[in-house]
Amino acid sequence: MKAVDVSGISQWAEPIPVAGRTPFITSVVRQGQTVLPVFDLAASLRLTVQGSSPLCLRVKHSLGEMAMCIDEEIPVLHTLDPAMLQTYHGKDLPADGSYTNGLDEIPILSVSQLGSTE
Amino acid sequence: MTRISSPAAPSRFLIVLLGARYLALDAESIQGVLTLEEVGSPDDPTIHGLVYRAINLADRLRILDNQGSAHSRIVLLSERGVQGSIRVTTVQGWLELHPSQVLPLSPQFCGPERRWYRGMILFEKSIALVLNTSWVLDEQVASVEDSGGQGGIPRLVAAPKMSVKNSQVC
Repeated sequence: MKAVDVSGISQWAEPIPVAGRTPFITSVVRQGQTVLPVFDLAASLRLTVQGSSPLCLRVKHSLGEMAMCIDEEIPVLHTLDPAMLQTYHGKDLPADGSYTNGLDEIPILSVSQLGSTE
Repeated sequence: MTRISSPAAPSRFLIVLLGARYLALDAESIQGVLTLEEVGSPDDPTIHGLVYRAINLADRLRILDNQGSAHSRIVLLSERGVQGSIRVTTVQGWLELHPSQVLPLSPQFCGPERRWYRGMILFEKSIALVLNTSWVLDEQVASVEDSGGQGGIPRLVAAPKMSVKNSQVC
């Protein structure tokens, strides 16, 4: 995802479940006096978070900040030339495009589209 | 003469535990908290001639609750002439808060839960969700919301077959 969409990375804290019916948003995390809804990105992609010490990615969303649990591997910052950006044709996640890293096409997650109906 | 606006009066809440989740109940709706022994039969307890229809809150919230605890309590609720009773795992105590201390439910929660809760309260290291008593006591809403379900818990359902793009209806 774009660095501008990220507001913080911290250790993942145990989420507090919220009984509800919103798909993939079924808990919150408390960070001091702040309570953030958790978007279960892994479940939405049918993946499992890897590692015993996952991280909490705090992202900016039009409805307010959200938290997402990600792998324990520290995220790496990449600087991309806009010319490297291409259209992402995958249907598995909302993307702001993609770039090629070796043989891999890396989608750029569109945080603004998370939770939007298409 | 100038009218001086007074700060909003604090509200009292009863904090209870249900299936390891903290819930807050507006004190104005609470008619009593009883032990199972005091109630006698938890099925529609009758107190001072009033029938408090038993509401399976754990079922309505789809919370897995082991209700066999000796600390279980029956909370009697009443609002606008409608009575009901809920069984909770334990009662944590009373909390007095200013309205500003009740946080709104994050807008990302956009399902029927927006009617279930009136907000959130920071409680200990966790949060307590403030239950909407009107919803709890509203049997009609319950029957509509449950019409598509199988009833009872635990409720095992297949993982939703939806992509992250169609993950929400906000």
